Amino acid sequence: MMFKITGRVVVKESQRALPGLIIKAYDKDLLYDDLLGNTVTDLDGTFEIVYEGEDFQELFEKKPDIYFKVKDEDWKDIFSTEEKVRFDSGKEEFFQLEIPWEKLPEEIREISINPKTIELIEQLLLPGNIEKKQFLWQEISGAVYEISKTQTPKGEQIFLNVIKLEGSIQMAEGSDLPSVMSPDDTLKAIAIEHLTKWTGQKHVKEIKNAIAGRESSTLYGLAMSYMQDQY
Amino acid sequence: MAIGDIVRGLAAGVGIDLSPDGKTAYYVEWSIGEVCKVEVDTGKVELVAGGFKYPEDVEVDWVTGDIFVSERTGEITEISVDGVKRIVVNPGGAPHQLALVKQGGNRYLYTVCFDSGTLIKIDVNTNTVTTLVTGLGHPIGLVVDANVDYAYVTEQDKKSLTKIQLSTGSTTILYNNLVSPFFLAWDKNATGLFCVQRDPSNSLVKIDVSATPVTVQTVTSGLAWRPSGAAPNSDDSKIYICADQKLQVISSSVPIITPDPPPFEVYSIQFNYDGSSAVSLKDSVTDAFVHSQPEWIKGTRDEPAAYVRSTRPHIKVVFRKITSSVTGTYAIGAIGNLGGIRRKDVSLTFQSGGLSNAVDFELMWPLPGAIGKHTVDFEWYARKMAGANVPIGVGSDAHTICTTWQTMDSSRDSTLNNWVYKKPMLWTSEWTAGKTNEKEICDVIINRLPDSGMKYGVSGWDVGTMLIGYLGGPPGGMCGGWYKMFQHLAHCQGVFVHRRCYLNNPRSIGNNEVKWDAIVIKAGGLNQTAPTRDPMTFEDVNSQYPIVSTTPITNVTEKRYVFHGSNDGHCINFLVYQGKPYLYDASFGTGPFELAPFAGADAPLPPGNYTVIGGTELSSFKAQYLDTAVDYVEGSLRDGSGTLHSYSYSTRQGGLTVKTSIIPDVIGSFDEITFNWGI
Repeated sequence: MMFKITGRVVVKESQRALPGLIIKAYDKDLLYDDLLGNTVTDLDGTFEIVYEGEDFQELFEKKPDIYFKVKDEDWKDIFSTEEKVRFDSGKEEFFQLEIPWEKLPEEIREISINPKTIELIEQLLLPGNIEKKQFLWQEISGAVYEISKTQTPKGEQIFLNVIKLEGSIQMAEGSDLPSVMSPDDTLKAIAIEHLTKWTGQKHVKEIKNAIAGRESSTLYGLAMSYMQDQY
Repeated sequence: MAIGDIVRGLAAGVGIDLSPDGKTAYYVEWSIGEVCKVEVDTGKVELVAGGFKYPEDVEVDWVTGDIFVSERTGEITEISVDGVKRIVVNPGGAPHQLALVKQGGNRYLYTVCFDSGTLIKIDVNTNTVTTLVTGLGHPIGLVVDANVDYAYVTEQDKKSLTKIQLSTGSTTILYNNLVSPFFLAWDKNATGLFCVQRDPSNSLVKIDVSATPVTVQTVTSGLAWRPSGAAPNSDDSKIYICADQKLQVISSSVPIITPDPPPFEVYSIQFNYDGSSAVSLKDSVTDAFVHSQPEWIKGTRDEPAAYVRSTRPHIKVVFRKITSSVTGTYAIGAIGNLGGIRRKDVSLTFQSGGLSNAVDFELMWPLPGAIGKHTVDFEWYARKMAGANVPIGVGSDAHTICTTWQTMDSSRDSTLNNWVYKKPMLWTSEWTAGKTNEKEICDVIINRLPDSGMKYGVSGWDVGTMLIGYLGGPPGGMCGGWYKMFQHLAHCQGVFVHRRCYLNNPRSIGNNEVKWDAIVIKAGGLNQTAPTRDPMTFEDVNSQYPIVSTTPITNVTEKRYVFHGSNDGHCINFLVYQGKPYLYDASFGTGPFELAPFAGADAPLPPGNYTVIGGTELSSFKAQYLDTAVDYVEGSLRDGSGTLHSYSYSTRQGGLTVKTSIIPDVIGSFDEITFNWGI
């Protein structure tokens, strides 16, 4: 009898897919855990393992108790779900493996986003925070540049939220201020620049909404030029 | 000799004639077309006749009581003793001082015509004009001797007293060093002439015409502004002077005129109102229009007003009742340092709270014809119209009024409005006082910018925030605010300057190298001694570019501004004057930089539509401005050994900072420095 496991491996904080990781699926046993199969994650972080019932079935066991070990391309351990075994799994099971950013090896981190970055920007984006809290410009602009390095769904979503920011970000003392545009507009310009680079005309409507009524601003001119580049 | 005020409150007084008994003086008020008379001992004034256009002089036939009036518009009018007016003649030419001569039962008027340069004789009985002399240089004053042999005339062009033989028309200049000479009057012996001198002398001199050559002696200086007519009494012990706003007496003892207590007083003055010609001002703290209530309210409010130079403003004035009952019509006006307020007849209606309806008044004269910040004072008076009354002081006030270069044109840029903030208006009107073209105005603004106290390098990207300071911080801002501020300052004076920003244009050139990620500036900017940044370490390339194995790289740790990425750079202004672009950098208080005209659709300016230009297109910009304003450009570059110095957008350092001035415009076909130009 054939069994099938499917799944997706992502960075926990950013939900960015992690391709090229080695996935080993096990059946938890009292004495010796059975290896159900190996595979490598695809570009979108997905994987599939098919195995036979005899791979795990013992005298009293009819259903597998599944956990995973995730290794990098050098077979070093990165992550394990051994502490969170899914008992009595069915014939077909889907697993979402969310690996914390800090557990990722350096080379994988480079193409991911530091969760502290995410946290900082999410603080900025929390309703009301923009008026209540003060932010250090070099930190939040650094965070936005960090996000802009690589296109990710999480980054795309963050940038869509950045361009919807309303009000003025309050700058903390010691901020290295931007020159041409206010901090809010500079962040939006960076976000719009990358949204248009990443997704072409996909978010034109959101961008136009974000700059509506700002015809005299540098932000407006830049946004229009970025969108123009996509036609 | 002392000078005393007999009447405080004339609407451009000019000619005067004193009765033989020395008790009554008739005078004309040019601005409101009235002839009045005053009892010189009591100061009681009474309207004799109105409805003239621009009366210049009055001459009374003291025997018949007939009154003759000359007008700027050309007419010589007679008012009979019973009050009937008739135009005797209209020779044109702007007749001024009159001299009545009686010969053989006939009455003749002699006068000089300012515009036509003639001396004419008018037969009052036949209404005919005889031209005796032509070619005089803007003659003003005139007297005729007792024998009617000679006329004595003041000529403004020649600054002279000229003697004219009436029978032949021959002229002799007796003296030609008078200051703005005006009307004349004989002294008691008919050997000397009193001559009034206007601005800047404002004095009375006596010219002894019996002496050869004539002698000139100052009787008194310090007369009220713009004196015109003089009228001595029979023994010269009192000489009455009709000046623009006052009728004065020169005497050893001056009478004390005691008016009644004021029945009302000036409560508020509104300069800017619907339909007003005032420039609208906003308060930067409240962001409310200054004219949301009267700019001046007695004891509680004193805000400035602004007009384009040479404007003649109207104002709305509210009075507050002091006595329980105020009835009848009052002639109300004001004297003041810029000419005061034109008098008008007003019947006031007071509300239950004691305040009157707003009354429209007009300044007597247009505001100065030059840019300036002026303190304009008004000393208000009111004279009850029924009968003879002494003008009563009803309040005094002083106002700051700015006069600007020309009307603002807010259609040139969507950031501009048809109003400006109060502070910039006060600053620029003071700084650019007397300047006479747009470039002079911009040059002074950039030079005086530090006097605003505002700083560069602090939060602020719009004019309003910059004026008050961001979150309690110092007033000022970053360049995105400063180029709006400079535009706003010029706009106050009706001068339009363009805005431009040049943004970084990082280009990957292969091998992981990027030119250029950032501009780096060492100067602190306006009112800052150093950049408002923590020190960072830079790797400077100061002497050789392109970088080769022997190129020295210097590590420096200091405060610098670093503006990086394609969404930052620097902002500047341009004035296009006589076809040339002049660059002003308000953030650093520098300029003007005269540049060669840029090519392209926005010529002579760089593009404003986010277009990248570089290389030789920026030659003049780079040589004249950038190399002095921006110290370094920073990029991810390899040094001579091939090691990559990678610029980090998170830490704002790591790249190589190359001195702008050592970078050529082009190497090969590669444009070394490029910027994305927008607005």
